[in-house]
Amino acid sequence: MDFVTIPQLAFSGLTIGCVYSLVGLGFALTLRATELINFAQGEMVMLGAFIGLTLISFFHLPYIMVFILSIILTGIFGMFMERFILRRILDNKSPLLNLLIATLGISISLQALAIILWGREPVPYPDIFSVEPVMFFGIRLQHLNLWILCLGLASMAALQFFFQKTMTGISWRAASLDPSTAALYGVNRQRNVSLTFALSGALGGGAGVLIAPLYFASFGMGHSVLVKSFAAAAMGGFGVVGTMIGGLALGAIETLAAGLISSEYKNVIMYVILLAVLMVFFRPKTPTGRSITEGSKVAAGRAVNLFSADMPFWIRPSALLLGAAVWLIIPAVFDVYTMRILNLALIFAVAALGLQLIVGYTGQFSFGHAAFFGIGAYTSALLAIQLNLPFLLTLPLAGAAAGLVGWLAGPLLRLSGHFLAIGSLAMGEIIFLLMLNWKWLTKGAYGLYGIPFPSIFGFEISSDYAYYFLVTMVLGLICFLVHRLTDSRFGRGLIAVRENELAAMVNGINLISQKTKAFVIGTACAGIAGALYAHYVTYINPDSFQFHVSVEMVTMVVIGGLGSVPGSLIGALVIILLPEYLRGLADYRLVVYGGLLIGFMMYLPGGLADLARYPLRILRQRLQKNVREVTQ
Amino acid sequence: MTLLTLQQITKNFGGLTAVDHIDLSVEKGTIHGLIGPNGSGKTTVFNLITGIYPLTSGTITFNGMDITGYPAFKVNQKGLARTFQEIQLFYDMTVLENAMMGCQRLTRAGAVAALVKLPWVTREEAFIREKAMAALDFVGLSGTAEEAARKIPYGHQRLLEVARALAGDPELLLLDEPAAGMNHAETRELMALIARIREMGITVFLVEHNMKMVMEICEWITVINYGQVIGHGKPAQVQADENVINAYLSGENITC
Amino acid sequence: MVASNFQKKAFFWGKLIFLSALVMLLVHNSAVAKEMIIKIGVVGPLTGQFAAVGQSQLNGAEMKANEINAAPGEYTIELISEDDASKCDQSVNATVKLITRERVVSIIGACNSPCALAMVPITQRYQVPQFTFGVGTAITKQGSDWIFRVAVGAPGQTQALADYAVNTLGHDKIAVLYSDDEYGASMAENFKAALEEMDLQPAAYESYPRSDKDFSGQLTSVKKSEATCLYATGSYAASALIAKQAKQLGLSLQLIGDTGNATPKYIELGGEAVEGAVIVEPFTPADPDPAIQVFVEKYKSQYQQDPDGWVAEMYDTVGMIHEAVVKTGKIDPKSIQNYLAGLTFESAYSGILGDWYFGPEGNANFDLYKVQIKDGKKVILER
Ligand SMILES: Nc1ncnc2c1ncn2[C@@H]1O[C@H](COP(=O)(O)OP(=O)(O)OP(=O)(O)O)[C@@H](O)[C@H]1O
Ligand SMILES: [Mg+2]
Repeated sequence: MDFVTIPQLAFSGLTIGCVYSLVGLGFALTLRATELINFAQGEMVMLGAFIGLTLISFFHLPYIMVFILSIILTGIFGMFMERFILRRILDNKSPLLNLLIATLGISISLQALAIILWGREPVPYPDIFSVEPVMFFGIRLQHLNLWILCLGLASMAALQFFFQKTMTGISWRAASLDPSTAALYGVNRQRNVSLTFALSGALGGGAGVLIAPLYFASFGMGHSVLVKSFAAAAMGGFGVVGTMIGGLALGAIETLAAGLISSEYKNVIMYVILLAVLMVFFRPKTPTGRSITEGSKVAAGRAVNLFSADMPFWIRPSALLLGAAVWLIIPAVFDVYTMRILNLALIFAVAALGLQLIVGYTGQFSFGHAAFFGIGAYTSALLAIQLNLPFLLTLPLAGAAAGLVGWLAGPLLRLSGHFLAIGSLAMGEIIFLLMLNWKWLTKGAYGLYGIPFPSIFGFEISSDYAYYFLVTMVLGLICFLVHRLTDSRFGRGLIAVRENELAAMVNGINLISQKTKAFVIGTACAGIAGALYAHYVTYINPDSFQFHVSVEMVTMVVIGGLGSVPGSLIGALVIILLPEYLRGLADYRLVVYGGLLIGFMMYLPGGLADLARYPLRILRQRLQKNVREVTQ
Repeated sequence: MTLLTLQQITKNFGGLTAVDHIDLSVEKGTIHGLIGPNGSGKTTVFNLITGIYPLTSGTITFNGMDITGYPAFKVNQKGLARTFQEIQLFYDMTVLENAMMGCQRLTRAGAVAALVKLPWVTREEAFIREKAMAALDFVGLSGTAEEAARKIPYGHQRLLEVARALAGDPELLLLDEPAAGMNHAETRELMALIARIREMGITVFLVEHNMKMVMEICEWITVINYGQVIGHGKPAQVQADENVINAYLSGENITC
Repeated sequence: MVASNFQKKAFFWGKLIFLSALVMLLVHNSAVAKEMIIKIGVVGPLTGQFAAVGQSQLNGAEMKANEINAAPGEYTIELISEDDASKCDQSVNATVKLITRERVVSIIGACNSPCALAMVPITQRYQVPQFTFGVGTAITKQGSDWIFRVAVGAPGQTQALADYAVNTLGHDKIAVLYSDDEYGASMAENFKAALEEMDLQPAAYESYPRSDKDFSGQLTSVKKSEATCLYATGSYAASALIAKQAKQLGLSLQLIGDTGNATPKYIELGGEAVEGAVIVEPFTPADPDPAIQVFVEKYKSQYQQDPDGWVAEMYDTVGMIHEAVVKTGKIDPKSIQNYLAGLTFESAYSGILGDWYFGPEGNANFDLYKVQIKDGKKVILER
């Protein structure tokens, strides 16, 4: 390796790293002020890029002016976003996940709006700077890259100055360390939160104006820097200086790894480093308890028990009868297309049930669930294609394989909160990348095709109607098992871990083992769902098991209602059916879909299960009264 | 007979030595008080005993068994239960479920058992329920068993923590400032409750700021300041101890 | 307290509005049907990363449909477009919907080879002809009679490209840089195979993750390999970025590209950096043939940009389906499939891309243009 290559690579790496730092800082600020992971941060980048583009091409302003104006405008936008959407959810004392889904909704809507406003295609920036590089000891330094580095570093320096030297900045830091004490000293929390969103919007927008000349402006551009920027913030411990260094380091590592080691495995290397950093530096030493004023980690409602002893005897048989009737009527009234969507939704419901156990019951974030879904799908498909094993064997083996990998990933559960969120995300991405790169096993990006339909006792299940019965039976069985699990000493232990780790451990709960068990069972469910999926669609490739699918699964669980078994079913149905249902809206489909996600979080924080509980509770009270009257 | 022995236990938090070579032993069947000014290290001692923090050095013996370095859940399984200075409940669970969580050490049904649900599992579940109800009855909370823990009044929440600890039939009960935030009448009731606990044969190790209460119910008292033992003995002895008086006076000066 | 009361009220009304919006969405309805209408379903990404490709597909089909509908004739064409956001689940769902609900007689799509592949079992099961410009080799190897590839597949394209680069341009050190998805991998592997047939090996063979924007690492390997020619395959935006960054790193390479870059957007995004690049494409607006020029002008006036290969392919596909219906006099999937599968060199459908007929596996074959970008315009080198 010569003496020019490495600094040359490092220079490009630092440029993109600078962008990771800026976006990551936005993450770090909102996270520290409100505990929120803001998925819409990527869209601030996109907005900044398009606003900048508009300013340049219509008003022909100089680049530095464009930079400043875009920062101001995206800052204002960030503030509005907080004021009109997020504040309501923050005020409800909603748990983290709800906020997260709301920002996801914002992100989806903004992307769809950007398509309507600026089109689907990437738009190049006009050449602003001379393309002739500055030579520096044989290293070619582009004007644009130098500008990015300078402006990026200057913004970060300004931010650091703001936090260290100005009164507002100091009180912000105080409030983020100890909100209640700061409030006693007259720090206005509301104003602080507004300020945070303004700042992080501005940082994202700034990053957008900086990278767009390099990489074009496009509606999806925020997405590509999102995960890495968050990783940068996490590596930096969510501090200002830390995130700066984290971003620059990440950019440099990424580029150097691609240039010097392997371009196929550069992201694997990056995520492994991220995991190592998390596990070494950000493992909490002691679990924290919870005070009464704090919200729960998840907004879990209490199930309404219609089958308790004080209810009339006929309620259980009639519920069973009703259920069976609905089960049989559905295939009789719906057409093939509806059955297909329904089947997919039910398959996802199996995976969502597993996630429910992990997130809703045990309170552990997981943003890598789709990877386990994928492991199940690949296991079952490969066993069926290569070894001709029957479906009744590959199905449980798929669950076992996913559960095994879940068990291997168990140590991750020593992380907590956001660190677990990012850790599980990194793990999911690593599994995805291995699916992509272990070509000898998975055929890589080509995927596996010709996966046979399940054949049970010689009967091939190929029609959508037959599959419905297969899926509902598996789902029914898993619902039953999950219900048994949660309604037991073991299940109480899970909820205890969610509610208060400190209290759980002094009452004899082995936190790690309890979390790991939940994780293994949850991932095994995902594996089984994966097998059902693979043999239904008969074609799989790694794309179906990426990060965004994991996020979709989390959305199912939250929208359905955390800590509720029926909730997972409802959530999966809504998330799979809704986009299909909204097809008629064409371009506005995703705008509405995102808006609905936001609406759910604003107005139904407990999920749809919560909505169903109200009539059920009334029903229960009515029936109970009847019993009393009869006995009197 | 000594139930719990602490030998030269020490805890450093970075530069700060919160617990500094403390020796202490709790006799079986007694009520033992641990007092000291704010920030003297009392809660830290409890956290060390129950395995929430690892020790920097020293050994802890419980019932003749060396439990040094045991993780918290294992310490509990050996028969040590505790409450917290800042209430730590499972707020979104019911009062009854909270108490049921105390029975972990007496029961064993795991995930597989829950799935298979053999008759013994059902019986065990009934047993847990029974134990929990008995504990709630004991502290006087059985009337609110089905309420969510977050909904009951503060004083009751404190009692619920005690009930949860008692549900597992512990040998030693650690109470960290159980009377904090209680009014006079409630404190009286609590004192009676603690006496009844002792009568059941459970040893009580108590941290408390309410001097009147401590002096009245404890047989032995250990006083610590800046993480070091500065006095030990019967209530009357401790009250007369010059070191103790000085520590409390200077402590008062600092806080005022 | 007043404020909190107000907030409660606002929350209540907000909730009410939100819930009624939900209910309204549940109630809304659609769909009616007519006679003598050829219903064609179009499945492709209109959102997500490959939205621009899906738009080209739709535009091409729409332009031909409008022409047919405006001309006097027995039949009219109705296109029903569904967005799949490049997610194969959605492609398949949309296909089932179009076939079973809308009763389309042909399906166009999907744009991404994996998704087109995922649709093959469905169109086979329901016996509806499917037309895709996806280049993945596997698509037409599933033993389905119902799939037609209306583009030159990966082997054909890469063979033409490798042959031209080696034998005409005289390069023997060619670096390959591909996106790690199905498209890129399939192109790269076929290209490699084509080189191997000429007893050559790629000088460098590097992949990049699809969402990546910085390629300096991979380009460093290319530089080390002393390659004189670079074949970048993947999305046109990535290829344009690769060209730009290679130039910035001071590499002077002969760029070559496949139909993935055969869109005017590639030139717009790449600017000066793609000058001199050689591209194989099924269609080029540079062709002076009067019929093509009319087509180009018409497209430009409707969509304000140059048509690309995808547009032309879809334009011809709709034309072919129409002709099949006119010739057989029947609007049903089976006769369309029968007619098109039976086309031969003699009875070929003549469209804007030339003469259409399909091989036994359903692959169309036509000569590709080799064009070079000069002063931001495409110049035909040979066909
Ligand atoms: N986790 C920790 N990290 C760092 N320092 C700690 C930690 N826990 C306690 N300390 C410090 O150790 C010292 C002893 O604290 P501890 O809570 O044990 O006091 P205490 O006697 O219980 O006080 P109080 O009567 O106010 O409850 C204090 O200075 C405290 O700040
Ligand atoms: Mg204390």
